Amino acid sequence: MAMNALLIDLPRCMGCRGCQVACKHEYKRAAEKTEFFAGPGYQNPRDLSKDTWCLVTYNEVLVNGRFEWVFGKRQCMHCQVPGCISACPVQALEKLPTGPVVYHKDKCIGCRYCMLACPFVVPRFEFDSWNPYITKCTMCAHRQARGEIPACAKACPTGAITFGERDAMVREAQQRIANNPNGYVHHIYGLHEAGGTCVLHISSVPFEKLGYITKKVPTSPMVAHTEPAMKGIPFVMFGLAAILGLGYHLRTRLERQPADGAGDRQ
Amino acid sequence: MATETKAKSGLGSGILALLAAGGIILALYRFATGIGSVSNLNQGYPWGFWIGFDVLTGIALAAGGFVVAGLMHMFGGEKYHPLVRPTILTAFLGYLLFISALLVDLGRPWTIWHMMVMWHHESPMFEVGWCVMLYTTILFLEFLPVVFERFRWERLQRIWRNVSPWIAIALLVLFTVALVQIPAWIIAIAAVLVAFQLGVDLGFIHRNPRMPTMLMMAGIIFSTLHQSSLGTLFLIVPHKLNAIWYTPLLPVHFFVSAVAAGLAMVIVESTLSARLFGRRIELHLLKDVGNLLAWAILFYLALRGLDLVFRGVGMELLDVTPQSIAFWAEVVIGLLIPLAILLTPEFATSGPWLFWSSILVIIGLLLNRLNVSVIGITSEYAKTYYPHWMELGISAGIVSLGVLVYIYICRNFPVYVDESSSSHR
Amino acid sequence: MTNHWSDMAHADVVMICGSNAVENHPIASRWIERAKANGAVVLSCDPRYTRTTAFADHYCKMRSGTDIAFVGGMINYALQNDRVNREYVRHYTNATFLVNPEYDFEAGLFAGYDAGKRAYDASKWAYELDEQGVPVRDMTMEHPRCVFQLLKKHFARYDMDTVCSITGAPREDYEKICDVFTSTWAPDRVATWLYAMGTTQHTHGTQNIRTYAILQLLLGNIGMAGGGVNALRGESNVQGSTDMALLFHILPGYLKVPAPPLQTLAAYLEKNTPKSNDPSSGNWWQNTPKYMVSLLKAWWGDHATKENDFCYNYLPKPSGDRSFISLFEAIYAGTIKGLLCFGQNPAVGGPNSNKEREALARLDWLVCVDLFETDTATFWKRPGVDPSKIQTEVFLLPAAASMEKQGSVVNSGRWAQWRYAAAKPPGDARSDAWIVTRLVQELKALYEAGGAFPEPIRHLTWDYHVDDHGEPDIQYVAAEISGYYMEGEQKGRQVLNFTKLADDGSTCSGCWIFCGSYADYADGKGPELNDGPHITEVRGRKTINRLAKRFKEDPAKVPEGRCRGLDPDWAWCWPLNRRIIYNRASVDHQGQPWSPHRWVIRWNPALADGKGAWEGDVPDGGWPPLNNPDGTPNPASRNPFLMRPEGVACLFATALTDGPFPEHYEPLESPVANLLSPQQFNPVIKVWEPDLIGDPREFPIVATTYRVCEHWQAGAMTRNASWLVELMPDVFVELSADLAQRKGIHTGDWVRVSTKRGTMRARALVTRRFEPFFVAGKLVDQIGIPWHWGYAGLATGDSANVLTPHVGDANTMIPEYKAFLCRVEKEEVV
Ligand SMILES: Nc1nc2c(c(=O)[nH]1)N[C@H]1C(S)=C(S)[C@@H](COP(=O)(O)OP(=O)(O)OC[C@H]3O[C@@H](n4cnc5c(=O)[nH]c(N)nc54)[C@H](O)[C@@H]3O)O[C@H]1N2
Ligand SMILES: Nc1nc2c(c(=O)[nH]1)N[C@H]1C(S)=C(S)[C@@H](COP(=O)(O)OP(=O)(O)OC[C@H]3O[C@@H](n4cnc5c(=O)[nH]c(N)nc54)[C@H](O)[C@@H]3O)O[C@H]1N2
Ligand code: SF4
Ligand code: SF4
Ligand code: SF4
Ligand code: SF4
Ligand code: SF4
Ligand SMILES: [Mo]
Repeated sequence: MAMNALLIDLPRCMGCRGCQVACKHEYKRAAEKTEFFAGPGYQNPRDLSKDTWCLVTYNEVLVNGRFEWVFGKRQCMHCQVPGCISACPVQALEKLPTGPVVYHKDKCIGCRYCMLACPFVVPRFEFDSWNPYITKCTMCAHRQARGEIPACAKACPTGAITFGERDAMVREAQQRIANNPNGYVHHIYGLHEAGGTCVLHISSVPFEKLGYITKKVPTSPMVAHTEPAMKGIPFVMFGLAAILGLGYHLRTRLERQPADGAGDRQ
Repeated sequence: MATETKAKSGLGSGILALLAAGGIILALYRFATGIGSVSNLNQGYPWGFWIGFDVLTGIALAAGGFVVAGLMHMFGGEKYHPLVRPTILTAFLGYLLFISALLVDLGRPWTIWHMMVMWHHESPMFEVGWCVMLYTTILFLEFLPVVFERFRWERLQRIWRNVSPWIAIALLVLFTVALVQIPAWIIAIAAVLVAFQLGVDLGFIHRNPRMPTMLMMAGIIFSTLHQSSLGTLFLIVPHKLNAIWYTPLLPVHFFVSAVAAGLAMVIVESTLSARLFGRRIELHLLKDVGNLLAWAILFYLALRGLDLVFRGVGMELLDVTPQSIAFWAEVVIGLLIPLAILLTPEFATSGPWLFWSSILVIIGLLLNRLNVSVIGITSEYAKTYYPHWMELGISAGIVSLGVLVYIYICRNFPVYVDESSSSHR
Repeated sequence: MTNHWSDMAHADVVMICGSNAVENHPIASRWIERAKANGAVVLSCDPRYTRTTAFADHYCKMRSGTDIAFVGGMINYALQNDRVNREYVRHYTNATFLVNPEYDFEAGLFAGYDAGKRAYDASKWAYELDEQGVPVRDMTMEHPRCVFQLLKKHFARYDMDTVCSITGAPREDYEKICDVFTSTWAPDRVATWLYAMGTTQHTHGTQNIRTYAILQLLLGNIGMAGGGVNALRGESNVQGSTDMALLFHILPGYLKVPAPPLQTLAAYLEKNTPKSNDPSSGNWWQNTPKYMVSLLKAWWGDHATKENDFCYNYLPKPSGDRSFISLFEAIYAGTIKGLLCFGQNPAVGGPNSNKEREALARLDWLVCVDLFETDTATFWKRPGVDPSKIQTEVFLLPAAASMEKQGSVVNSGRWAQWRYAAAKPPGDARSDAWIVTRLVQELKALYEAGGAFPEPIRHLTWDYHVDDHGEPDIQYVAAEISGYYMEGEQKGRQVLNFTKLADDGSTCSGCWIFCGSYADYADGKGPELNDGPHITEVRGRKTINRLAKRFKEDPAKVPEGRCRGLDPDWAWCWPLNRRIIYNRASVDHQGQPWSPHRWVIRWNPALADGKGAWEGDVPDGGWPPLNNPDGTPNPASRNPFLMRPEGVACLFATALTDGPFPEHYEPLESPVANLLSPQQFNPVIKVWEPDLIGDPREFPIVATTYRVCEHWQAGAMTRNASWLVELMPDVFVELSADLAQRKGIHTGDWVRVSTKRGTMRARALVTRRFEPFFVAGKLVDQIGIPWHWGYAGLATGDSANVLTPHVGDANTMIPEYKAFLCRVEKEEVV
């Protein structure tokens, strides 16, 4: 099975939020109580939440002197080596070979370590429930399984969201940038971020201007940072066992030298 | 004077009882309505005071148990023996409390057993979970003799003496299987442990009359892993944890500071309990402990310093940000001042000074753990976090409960085996 | 639309002016995106920076209400720089026609103005005719009285500086727009013009559109793939409702409504059948009698006979204006006592809505037929009124939504597309067809018992195969709209197309332009003969519902160079399934395309065994090309604009009430004096409430109203949808940082917007997307308000229409929603 990806072409996005609503509709997530606007422009709600897995952001930016209204899309990036998965003690999160990072609610113990570990600050927790779960974008794994494309991609009128095999999407992104070198910044967000993701973004303005997390996201997968320590475990165990054992034996030996050699069995 | 202290302690335990009751009520409320209704935890700050204080600090303070054990064990500090039981008790209680705190913090506590069956050895959280589980079992085994003596169950005690080492070995090997999953290592580690225990049973190796050595070794191994694994937890947030604290050496830092805190706890505890039960302080012991504490702090300071230098973090410490302030608070209060005290000879031998410097060390450790888990964390998009009073309330309740149980046990069990009057109240 | 949605992909330049296409017609953006991918340049001209602008390559701002100046300047730019497709203009427009000497333009007024009537005598604008009564033409276009020269003269006044100082457009932006757009004068470059309410909702809305048409004709962009003047229609079926004449001034198929003097059919036909003595003119409307009679036959069937004038006298003959505003004025005045409100929410959507809500209270009864309990249905319990004081009896009939019933929808591209019920209507909700049928049955029963002039109802044909749940078979309605034979051996058979309709009563057709949309199976050809839901049975005959066809064109079969997206077997398109109208103008005299790599039609001499034939789209008139292969004119041919008596397109148009050329006037409420003439505003508009016109000193700020992607219209359908409410819960007003700073307003503040008509509260959204204009040497502020809110539904808020004036376009009466004067104050928190 091939690894799929979503390609988000921001210059093609016109901020209609069809994707945002389609996502809520697909998963029957509740509407949030909002007032006026929560962010710049028309943004609502303020942030991803347990009920909002797909969020279109509005950014009024100056691009070399010219005023531009540019839109961004936030959702789970479906990392290739996801931090959330490395974090989860009970394997409640799983990376499917087709790309989606899915959540098995029945396994989750609610430790929220995945939230801490996610470099894109994506997983959400139902703090307001006595029986809470983690929620986030699933890359519409169930639709993919039916041979359908993700609901947001389906809804997008402009074709700002393309879905297909990751390799093809990467090539497509490179193509679009090559065909219009002045129209895009020459960076595919998600190609290397956090070791590579299955959601790729291309943009006409630098990503940080759109509120994307840039410098803070390492290019290596999150697990690369915990692995060395975890690898240390057997050394510590063996080492301690050996040293303590030997140390104890030698010491007690020396201490009991002067006394008669007989072991004292009670 | 005895009556007066009794009255005092009566009042004290009264307050504690109140706090404990309050905490329990709040906890029930939390289980009925969800974490959100009693805490300020939010999507950007999924971890807060409970993790920083109950879990990280709690565990570190419980380190006294293994430190003393280690002392006796390695350097044959037989003299420390009077301290062993109290510290083991505190450690044991500490862990029980920590577990109950964890149950409050976990979103789905009733599924905590998943940890035992759904293995994910890649996850630091998984390691932490297992260490807690197994080390608590070890502490329980270590504490059993107190119970046996109390009820004069010699037979059980004998069985315990022969069986507990093998249980310990089983647990150690099981842990290796779950977390290392490399046959070669499993065999190697199992071999060493079995060899040693056979050595003991067959008499080649001296059998410790009081406590099976294997039990102590297991305790030391588990808590070493555990203390450091709490640091490993935060290795996964290079993007969120401020560079002042984020370092690949975090596990080592956690371990060393835990040792220091453990020593400090030994001093604080025995001082307090001495006053509580009107016994004389083993000052001769505490002096040495204080001495060790000084060395631990020195070592820790050096470690932190060099680490900062090598990672090129310097400027951050000088400009005034909440983080840099928090850092200096942690270092000055928790390390420099107590170090100064402990290095001044006349103070280093005085009970009160020892006591207060240890208190400072403990506060410092608390600050450090809060820094790493909360203050040092900056999360994109998120609103900030400060603990809700109910969060504090629950923690306070749990601690009070712990202290009450501690007092009760000390009153009714032979925790303080006093050479002079070997009578258990 | 002259063209259609997917055709936008063929454009070299996409001008979006007077519309916020990507927000209000999201799907358009898909095709515009395709054009972009092929290197097209997208232009956005709008008073404010919109989500369309974000999608465009170049942007130029313009003050609301100044389109004629803005586009007039572009016309002038094209003429001055000779960016004109001369061949096209010479032969396919009336540029060469001479206008009679009486025509004149002076001080902002055309010849023939009667100040008393506030009206023109259009005869003063007539062409000069020769003895055969054929217009005189000067093919050199040099004659001082030829349309081309008059046009040049008229628009010469619209020079860069004047235009920029009227519109407030920054000069360099404006020049860029002019340059890019007129670059399509080259025969092989094409531009499309997308407009909607930004253009029409003005006192001079129709003339706004005329400027687009004139410019597109000069550049030779009409009839071309990727070209045209394209109205992005509004409600998903508003095109269909216009075709079917849900309007006061036309009958189905754009036949004229009889005026009181026309008491007989003969008189009506005499008056409304255009004549042309020009042999080269197709003058299609000469067929009016066939269409009118077939319509009357559809309505009154066998009761309509030659003897009784086919029941012509059953038709009401309204005197004068019965448009939206005047209806509500009449309700307000108490002359109208009852109102059936089908799928409309005027309490929010109507102009000066305070007055219209008042008017509703003066009705004896009001019937709302809607999906939701709308603001109109709840006017009597709206905030601030005492229900006990309102006597109107209000009924609310729950209606089934479009996805809950079968039927057809006509989109802006004139495609009639069949839809099937996707879900059952909730509760007691019924289809509109069901509700109307019940109404008809009831009325028939009542009139059987007698009453004044009962025949029109008693004799009304209603043979729609109503089932025992009272639901009519909508397929029958579609079949009748298309039309069938009513006598002769063909009796009952569907008519092939409107060329077969007759004026002798032998055929019926409910709407002649749809004739052929519902075919007899025997007349079917190609893929439509394949089985599918489009194969139906009506009146016992096997039929093809062409609206229901869904066969895509096989790309492999598309001839070299032909434009894509014609898809003749995907649904059906009026007229005659012609996808691009005026397509005869896309070819030269030899019938060869101006733009060979996206041709629409072309003459292929090889076809029809040597006789030659058109290929591609259905040609706009099947006659051979204007010239024979040898270059001599072909008498058998006809000019390409067959709907015009002239046979050519009109740069100079005598049909409109407010002048043959567009001329810039200020909106009724304007902060500045007209820089071009002493005539401040459109001289022929009716001003309903002179005393409710704001004074610029009291109301200095220009205001406009518009839509947002997240809400629909008067809001019942979206303010009741929680997911959409989440996105935009509260009514807001957008204003420039500059204005906000002067007023001490910050984003999120509550502000009050007032006009002479009313006051509303809204949250302030301070943004760089609005900027002040530099007009006639002074700063002019403009604000904008989405108009979707009301007091009913999940999300409530004040309606922008409490602000808007009761004044409409001189020709269509569409209200001036887009340009009026207001005042903005920060609301003091008490
Ligand atoms: N999401 C959504 N889509 C809709 C609708 C809806 O309610 N919601 N309504 C549907 C209906 S019924 C219709 S009619 C269409 C209307 O479609 P549009 O005409 O696109 O709708 P508006 O937003 O009213 O006006 C378009 C633009 O005209 C600009 N404008 C204002 N004054 C002027 C002016 O003087 N000149 C020019 N050139 N532009 C001006 C406004 O700033 C606005 O951006 O939309 C249809 N589509
Ligand atoms: N200020 C300002 N005012 C404007 C405009 C503007 O640009 N500015 N635009 C004007 C324009 S272009 C238009 S088109 C009008 C629109 O004004 P309205 O037509 O009054 O607005 P809608 O909300 O579209 O009303 C349609 C109603 O039909 C109901 N409905 C939907 N489907 C069905 C059905 O199948 N059957 C029945 N019976 N009901 C159904 C919906 O619930 C809705 O309540 O507003 C005009 N008002
Ligand atoms: S973005 Fe976060 S939640 Fe999504 S896969 Fe990556 S780490 Fe996991
Ligand atoms: S919260 Fe659930 S999913 Fe997330 S890490 Fe903990 S157990 Fe795994
Ligand atoms: S992929 Fe599916 S779940 Fe994810 S944002 Fe799109 S619609 Fe929502
Ligand atoms: S649907 Fe497409 S165009 Fe609309 S906001 Fe989402 S990504 Fe952008
Ligand atoms: S009609 Fe429907 S699909 Fe088409 S653009 Fe409007 S909202 Fe989108
Ligand atoms: Mo409309």
